[in-house]
Amino acid sequence: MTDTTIGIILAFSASICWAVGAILIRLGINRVSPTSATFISIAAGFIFVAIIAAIMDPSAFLELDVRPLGGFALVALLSFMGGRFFYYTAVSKIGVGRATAMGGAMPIIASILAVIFLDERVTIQLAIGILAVVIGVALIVTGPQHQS
Amino acid sequence: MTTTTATPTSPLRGPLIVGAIAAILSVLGYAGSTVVARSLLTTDDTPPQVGSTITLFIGMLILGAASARSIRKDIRAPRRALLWITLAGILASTGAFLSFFSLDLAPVVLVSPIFTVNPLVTLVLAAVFLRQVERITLRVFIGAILVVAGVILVILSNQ
Repeated sequence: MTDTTIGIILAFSASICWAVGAILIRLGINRVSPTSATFISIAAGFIFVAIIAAIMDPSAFLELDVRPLGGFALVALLSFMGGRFFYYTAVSKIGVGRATAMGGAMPIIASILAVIFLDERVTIQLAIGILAVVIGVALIVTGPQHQS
Repeated sequence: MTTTTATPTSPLRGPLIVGAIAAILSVLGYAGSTVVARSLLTTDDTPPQVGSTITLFIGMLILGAASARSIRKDIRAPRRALLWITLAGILASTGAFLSFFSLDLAPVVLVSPIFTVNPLVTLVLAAVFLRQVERITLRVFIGAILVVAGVILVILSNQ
């Protein structure tokens, strides 16, 4: 099994984790503000991931280089203050289906940024695939949605 | 279950617009973080699990400061609601943890579209567990097929 194949499997696993998490957030977000919900979810996630990371390789933390810390702080700002907080806000306002489906725009934005800043290539086949994903998500978002 | 979301018969423009803008900002935040994370993992020797843990720790500090006022009130929310959010946080962070490894192993133009399966799975789960909130129509079904086909095409393009 190649690294790329493992990467694909892990990406699918991540998607399933996020999907189940979205359903659970939908159940809890009506009683808690998006700001507090984001903090609670990140604190819980940090404890869980820190334990797993420590079990995997405790020495990795001791060999930590301080140079990329600024970069990880930027990732935290973008991912949690930008991504997760606004996602929870969206779930509380328009529901989990629409809010999550709008995330289909992500590959377009991420791919454009990757091509510009990381010199990655976009083939025609890849572009058609991304386009199909975006059209599919658009159909889901604009379809009738009955909510109580 | 109560919600402020729009319905076909009584569109709530305000929440709908705020929600849509929030969703777009969320996408921008996640997209930016994906690219920065990928860049960090390819240019530095920091292991993905360490990067993921540090990112969560910094995020916890930032959100802790930002939610200091609201958390005092929200901590009195029903235990079940707090439990769902806690479990959601664990799953979301596990997903982020796995995504760090996937970004470390495969290009972002390949991994990022695969993350798009997320709304499809969410819709199916919502249809099963939140029947009174979400309903799968033919339009949604066709959209879901397009999403899966697009993802498969993206995977095949790398073979």
